[in-house]
Amino acid sequence: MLRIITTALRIGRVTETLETLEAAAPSAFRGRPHLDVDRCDGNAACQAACPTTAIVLGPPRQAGGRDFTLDYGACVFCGRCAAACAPGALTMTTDYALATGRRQDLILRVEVPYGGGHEGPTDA
Amino acid sequence: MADSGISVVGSASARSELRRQLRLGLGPQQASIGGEGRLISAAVPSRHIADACVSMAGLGATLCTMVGTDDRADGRGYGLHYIFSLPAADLLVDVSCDVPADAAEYPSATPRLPAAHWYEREVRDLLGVVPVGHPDPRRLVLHDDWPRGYHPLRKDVDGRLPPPRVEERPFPFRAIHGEGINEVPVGPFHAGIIEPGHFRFSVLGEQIVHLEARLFYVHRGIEKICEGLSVKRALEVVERICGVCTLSHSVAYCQAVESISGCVVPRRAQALRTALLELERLYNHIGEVGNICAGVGLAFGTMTGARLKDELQRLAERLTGSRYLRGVAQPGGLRLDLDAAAVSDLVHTVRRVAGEFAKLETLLLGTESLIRRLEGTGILPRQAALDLGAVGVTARASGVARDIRLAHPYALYREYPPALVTQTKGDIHARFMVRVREAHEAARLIDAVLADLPGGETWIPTALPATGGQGLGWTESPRGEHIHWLRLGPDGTVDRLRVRAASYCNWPLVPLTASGAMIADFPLINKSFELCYSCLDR
Repeated sequence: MLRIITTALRIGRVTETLETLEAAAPSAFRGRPHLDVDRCDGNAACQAACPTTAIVLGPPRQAGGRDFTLDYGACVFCGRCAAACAPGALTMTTDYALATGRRQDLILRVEVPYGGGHEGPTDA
Repeated sequence: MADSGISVVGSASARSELRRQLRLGLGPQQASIGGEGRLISAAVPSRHIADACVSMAGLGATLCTMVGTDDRADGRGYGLHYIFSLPAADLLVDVSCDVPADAAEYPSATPRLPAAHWYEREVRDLLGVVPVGHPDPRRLVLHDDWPRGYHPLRKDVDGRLPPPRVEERPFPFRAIHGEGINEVPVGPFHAGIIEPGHFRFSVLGEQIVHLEARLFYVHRGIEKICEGLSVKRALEVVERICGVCTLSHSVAYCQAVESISGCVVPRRAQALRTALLELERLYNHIGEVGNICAGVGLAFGTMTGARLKDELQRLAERLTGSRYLRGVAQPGGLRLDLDAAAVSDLVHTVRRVAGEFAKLETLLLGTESLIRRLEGTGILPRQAALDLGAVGVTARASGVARDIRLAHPYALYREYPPALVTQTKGDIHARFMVRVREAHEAARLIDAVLADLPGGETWIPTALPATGGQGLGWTESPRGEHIHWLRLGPDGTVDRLRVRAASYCNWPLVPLTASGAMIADFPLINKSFELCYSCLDR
């Protein structure tokens, strides 16, 4: 028992603060997916790749473009969308702090170009 | 046949000898035997299915899993598949039969092959196929607020709709009567962050006379969800069956797909799968050694175990992006590769953590107050382990020399065989020691495999036959054997996936080991088995 106590004292405190952990998030970590709207061509390959239908692209608007919605609440952070994105518009970030006070704040809704004719096959 | 005493030895000639014996043993029951390589199939009429299973057991085969299928669309009624393992010949035998839809019953194998007890109850619950002569008529998977006659794995049940509910009738627990005997109900809600299970203790004073467990509270219908999904999509579901043994599940599933496609996984992918599967074993075994310390209130052991486990999970996150090794495996190999820096990180972190774990081991084994609680408590006799089909650490701690990495090698385990770690006493101490030794063995294997890591690709495309097909995949997870039985339809989607996790075999053993113990020892006994609710309930 004495050896356990001396070992515990020698090891000291190992608890880390949130700040050090945030700095330590490894680059391989798959956190919040990020859409760079300027690079998106609206080809919808991400929608086809998403296993949980967290990504939904809407029909073309009359004024051009289409709605892109990404529900972080349905996302399982598999990274399939980013891997399928030819223009490199969707990327996985290391951001894991996604908690919000309201469910609807977990839904990202932006307008992207309409990539008519480039619809990938739905892999459902 | 059952007493033929013929031993089967691994080699091509032994396999043909085994086929001959199967034909002899199952022949009178009109078996048709097919299949090549490691998986043999033998179809018998349903009235002979129990006899055929007993014949297999007589050959020294172990029941690995049992699968029920709904084949009514093909006009074949329901299908039953009993999968047996013959380690001496490195063969797996799928003994199957069709059960007519209008008379959905068959003779139960359980009275003569007790290891089949839960499988047959599950098939009765989920498919409504009745094992005649099964000693336990009670429900297993479905709880009592599910309507009678509603069997969710039948193809005509829409899995997207919530099941209808009826008023719950109390589950018929076996009541123990006698002077001074009290019942102590525990759960399904527990203090602390564990999953739901109900334990009904009959106690005489402090001593447990009888224990029954009611499980499957978090049955999520994972097998039903997978039906109709593409192979790739189903993998995302399989990776989320359990957090503890994610990679063991995903690799078993991928191997099932690969056995259907017949593709040869690149050597580099096999080597990395081996190393990462052993990493999964290492962080779980270290964590579990810590958890056993929690059962006796030895906080130093618990905290050190948790700290070392976390170091390895952070390593996993650095290497793969996931602390639980999600997104690593895919049919045909891996979704990723590790560069030289990552391999070096893996080797050195594992070496350092294994060194620290060795120090923890020395301290714990020298702590008499811990060891005395572990010794002689929660004994699982070897015969019970054999009869009920115990797997993994639990089986090996009771003297059963079985490890599916050695029985049916996969990945690179044929070239890098793990040392078989067994104990004889079958108590908590034995399970503790098996984990300690296997942790060191896992660290050694990681080192050995990565020392001559082959180059090349980590993935090749898997071409699936246009007719669909049936396959089997298996891994030795940290908790024991995971068996994935997979059938793909002609459209390439999952027709049936049966996930048999290690905990499925070991859960029914826990109540056996509790009888005679003090009720205060139960949490410790339970921890020593390290059973998973998620894997079990699916």
